[in-house]
Amino acid sequence: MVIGRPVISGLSGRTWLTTAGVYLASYILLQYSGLPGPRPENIMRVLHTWPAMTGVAALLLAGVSRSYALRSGQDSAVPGGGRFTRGRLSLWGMLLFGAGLLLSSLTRIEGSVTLSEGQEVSLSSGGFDSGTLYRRSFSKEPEGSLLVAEVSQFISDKGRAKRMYEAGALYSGTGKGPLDLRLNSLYPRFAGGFMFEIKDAGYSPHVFLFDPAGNMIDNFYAVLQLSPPGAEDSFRFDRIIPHTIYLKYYPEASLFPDAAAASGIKSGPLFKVRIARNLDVVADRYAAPDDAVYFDKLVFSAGDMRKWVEVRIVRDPGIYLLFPGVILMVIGALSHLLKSPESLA
Amino acid sequence: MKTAVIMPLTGLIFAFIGAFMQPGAYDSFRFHTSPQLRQNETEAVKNTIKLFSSSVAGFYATGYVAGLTQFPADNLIRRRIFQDIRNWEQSGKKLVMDRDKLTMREVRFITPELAVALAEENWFSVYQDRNTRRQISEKRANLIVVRYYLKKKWGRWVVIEYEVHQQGDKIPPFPVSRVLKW
Repeated sequence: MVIGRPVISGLSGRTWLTTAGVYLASYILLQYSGLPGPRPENIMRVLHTWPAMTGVAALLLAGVSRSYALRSGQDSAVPGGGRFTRGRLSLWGMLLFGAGLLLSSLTRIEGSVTLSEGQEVSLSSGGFDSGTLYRRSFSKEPEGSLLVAEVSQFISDKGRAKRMYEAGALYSGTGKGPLDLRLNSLYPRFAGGFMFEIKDAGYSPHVFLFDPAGNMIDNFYAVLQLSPPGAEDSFRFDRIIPHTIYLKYYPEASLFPDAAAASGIKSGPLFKVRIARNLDVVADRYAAPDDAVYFDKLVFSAGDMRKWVEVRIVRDPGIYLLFPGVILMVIGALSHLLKSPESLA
Repeated sequence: MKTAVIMPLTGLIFAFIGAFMQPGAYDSFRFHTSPQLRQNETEAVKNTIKLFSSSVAGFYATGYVAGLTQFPADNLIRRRIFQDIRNWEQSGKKLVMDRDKLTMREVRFITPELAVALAEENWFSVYQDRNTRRQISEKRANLIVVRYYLKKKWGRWVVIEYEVHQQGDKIPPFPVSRVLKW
């Protein structure tokens, strides 16, 4: 009976499979089933992310490969010595992975700030959730300020905007003057011990409210989630009127035949505006930028469109152990799969 | 064979222990696995929405705050309703709203204490002179679909936000991550 035989410093192939099984069970239970409540914000926010998933997948692959090799009797011929055998690579990977998770659960802090193009914010500790009891230097909150210059969106071949963004940002908190960061929504950037990444992005229309005489009552840039085109979000002129304004935005009407036909606007940007006064819908129509939408003796219009980004800022020393651990686990798994014919001789 | 069963079972038990270490997990599990509990709460949510809309109609018709303590709404919603009533009264009018039909389409629980409900509502509204209560406008039908967001506060369901859609509109999915922060 070779299946249960210890293979990697005391870890059997079955132990590997069970570990991966535990992970999968916890993932399904916490992220999908909803049985224990909403998605957790503790250690699982690292454990259930794609780098950790890659590591567990590598572990599963190595376990399956190892079990298969043992069943077919091939692996019994592999010499066990050597500092960097594939089993040890995976083991070191697992140790780093575990240590990274532990450190992460003790020290990770994260927060996010939402900025429109051209906006600068001071980063204060109030906006950051450490989620840990540890408050010393490893969990230091960011200082200084963050300025987002321009936000650009990737456009597909058909001219439609994708949910991929890039933003030029200046971060002053490193003590060496402002640092130019090129942030994007695909991968994070590291600066001053922090990881910066674009978590979300959208359009921020300049909205106006006028009285019947044409005097401006209020105006501001409303941070809304209007992406992808046709997505709806709402805002209010709080404390001024009781109405809720629902907006949809189409950057180019000609790409959306239904909206263009319904609005009569054949090209250019287009808004769909619905205004509700408590439970009463008082306006529901399409409008071009700066068009007046009349309701209850008031006038609403939406004009200049800026973009906004939600930048997630994370300080997590644990990932510096976790990531190399995942890489080792992947290499270990690959070496199990791609072992040379000589070693089997 | 025995080990092959014991090991995954042990793994599953550990995964359960890990999952149930987060606060409120047991209550959530109990809620999601008990059809009776869910049925009771669904009824409570439906009754809350009926009380909400009948209270709104009452406030608009009378302009009085009678029943405000029973009104199952967050303070911001209360403020918006009474701001509107006051605005109409200042302009010498009264908006009278009458709910003709309320059909509950769906009640979903995000957590045992956070629910989202979709209701189809037919309202009729008419403007009256504030002093004489004489009708000064045509009766207007307002056919809407309202998505209510409710939270359990102090042992009872309270409407914390709502969205109003026209009947026939495609209802967009609700932002779960945003709702969870409410």
